[in-house]
Amino acid sequence: MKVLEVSQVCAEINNTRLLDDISFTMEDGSVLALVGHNGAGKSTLMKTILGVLEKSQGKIIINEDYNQDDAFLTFKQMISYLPEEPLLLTELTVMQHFQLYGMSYELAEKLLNERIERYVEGFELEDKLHEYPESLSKGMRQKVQTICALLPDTPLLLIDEPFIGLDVYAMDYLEELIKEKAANGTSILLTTHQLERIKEIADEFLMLQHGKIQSQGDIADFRTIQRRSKND
Amino acid sequence: MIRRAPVWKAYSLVRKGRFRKKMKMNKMAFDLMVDKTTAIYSLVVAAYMFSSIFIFGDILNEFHDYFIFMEENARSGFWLLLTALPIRYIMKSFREPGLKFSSSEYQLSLLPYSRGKIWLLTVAEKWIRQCAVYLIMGGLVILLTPISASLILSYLGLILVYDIIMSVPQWKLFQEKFLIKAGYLLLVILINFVGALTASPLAGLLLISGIIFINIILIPHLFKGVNWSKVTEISDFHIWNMLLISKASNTKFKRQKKYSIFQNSSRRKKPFQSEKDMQHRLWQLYLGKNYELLFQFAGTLLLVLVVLQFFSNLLFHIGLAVAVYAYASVSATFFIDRMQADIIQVLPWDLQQYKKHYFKWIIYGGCILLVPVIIYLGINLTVWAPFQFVFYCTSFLYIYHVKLERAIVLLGKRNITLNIKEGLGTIFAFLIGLTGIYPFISVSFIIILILLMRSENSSPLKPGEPV
Repeated sequence: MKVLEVSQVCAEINNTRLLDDISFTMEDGSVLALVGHNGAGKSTLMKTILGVLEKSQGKIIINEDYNQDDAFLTFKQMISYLPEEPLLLTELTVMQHFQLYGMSYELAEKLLNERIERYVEGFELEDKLHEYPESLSKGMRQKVQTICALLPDTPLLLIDEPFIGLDVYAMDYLEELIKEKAANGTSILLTTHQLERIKEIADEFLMLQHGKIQSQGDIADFRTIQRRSKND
Repeated sequence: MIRRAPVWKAYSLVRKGRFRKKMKMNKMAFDLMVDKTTAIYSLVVAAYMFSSIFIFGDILNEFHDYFIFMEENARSGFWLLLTALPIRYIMKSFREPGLKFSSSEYQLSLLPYSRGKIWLLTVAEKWIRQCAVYLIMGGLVILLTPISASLILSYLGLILVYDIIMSVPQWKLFQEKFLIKAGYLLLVILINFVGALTASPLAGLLLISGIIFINIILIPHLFKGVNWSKVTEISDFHIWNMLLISKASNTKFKRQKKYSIFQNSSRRKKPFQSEKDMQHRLWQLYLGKNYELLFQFAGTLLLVLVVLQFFSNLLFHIGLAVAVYAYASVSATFFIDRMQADIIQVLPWDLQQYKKHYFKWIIYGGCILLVPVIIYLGINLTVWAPFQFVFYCTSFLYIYHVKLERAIVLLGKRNITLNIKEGLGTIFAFLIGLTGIYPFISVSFIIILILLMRSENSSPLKPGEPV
């Protein structure tokens, strides 16, 4: 089953084309690594899929039925997103953030609490549940945001630079969780600059350069990203 | 031997860089917005207006008596101002620390420069700038009006003295919890009340002595308990929120983080007990962050409704129609903005739930606006008054629900037209205006009630409906 279908998508801001004719599909349980140099359009593509950034043309469909253009609310329900920079609210505690995700994704209270307990233990945040984000270190905030994104069971999980700010234990734990999610049928689109680690997680890669697809294929065929050049 | 660079050199380097960058940005924006011919014509028009009003015209003579009246009042009110001015700084401490200690100044303090000296340079710069502004303003008022120079100078001197002696208390108060700030505000209001009752300058003199004493106590603890992230974030916002740039680029400069006035309470750290609690908090936080805008908007509508009571019936009702329509429209705009802000933007939305819990806050705001309406209907009491009251409320509810439906359709990217409902909403607003002449129109509230019940059943997104 095609969990994600991105077809001829373009995105522009102030007449500058950020994404140009992007097309690809993802099957259920697959992990696609979005790679490219800084400014290649990886985060922009994620935001466009999520609907935060308006696309100028093309279509994005989830689970073969739900088009971003005419079933946006259901479409949103089917995506969980882990942003590069934590989006946590300064006025909600860590636990209240988890509850917010539980409410938004309509998770049953028992299931929510079980998952919170498991992930909080895994990421070593047991004593931080009632703290505000501003009293946490950057790495801890990243862990909180990571747990938030992992709480729901959505067909598609978008992960933008998941390993930034995490210590080596947290990175290993997250890698384990990503593999587990994929094994349970969640399709995962992720960006990272940790090229060695990505080979362990992803099945396929999609390389972007200046908002265009430069190459794509099996992760085993992936070598490295091109350096960004002024003349490109 | 370690040589230390003078702090003022590093500070002035930062300030010069900031000034140049702002100049460059303003120039770019100005070039984009105004061409040379328009600029020359605008200058000529401005010069003509200035000369016609202040040089060739006798406008100032016309206002001569008014200025004398002002001067008399200003003389008698000088001691009251002495007591009242600190309120201004305490009010400001809810929003800002009183000086611009931005992330650049903070970065500078991480280098081998004293944070205290950088703070002092920042505050001294503020005092010098204020002094220059007051001198220019005072000079203009002395030149253009017959008000005595000594009175103007003593007023400006008093304000400048308070600018200086309230810098430290405002800085420290800004770091404190909401209740502490509110407590100090209440205390100063109480002192003002006593001062006004006794009509003696003693209260003011005691207050100013107290403030000087507080300064002596606080100065050694200036950087104890400072929330630097909050200070720098707000300072950055004030420095880079440039009006010309916002206009030219058609974008609103947003603060990175907005600190709610409700933060810091331990009760609020407890997990939510229900979805209702969570929704309540989400709306409270959002509206709390935008309270300045909300107060301005509600204050304007309130002012319109109060002032228009002194004019004709028709004018009051036209004002009321505009207020009802504007309140409903702005409520919908806030609803959309809430969904497109912060973490909520990337989460799935149960828009019916958000709408349901938002309504309570709309009612709170509506109650404030109803006060002048009730006063008006009480003063102009007729047999139609109860019908008019219900008509205004139902009309607002109808327009509000249509506006919210439109917001939900837009957010959900649904292809649903609401032209008839929107048309009816405009007609009801128009009818509110007409009830000023034909109050019997207000019985049409029955039709609106029926429409409201029907629209409830034909909402674009019902709870639980698959979207």
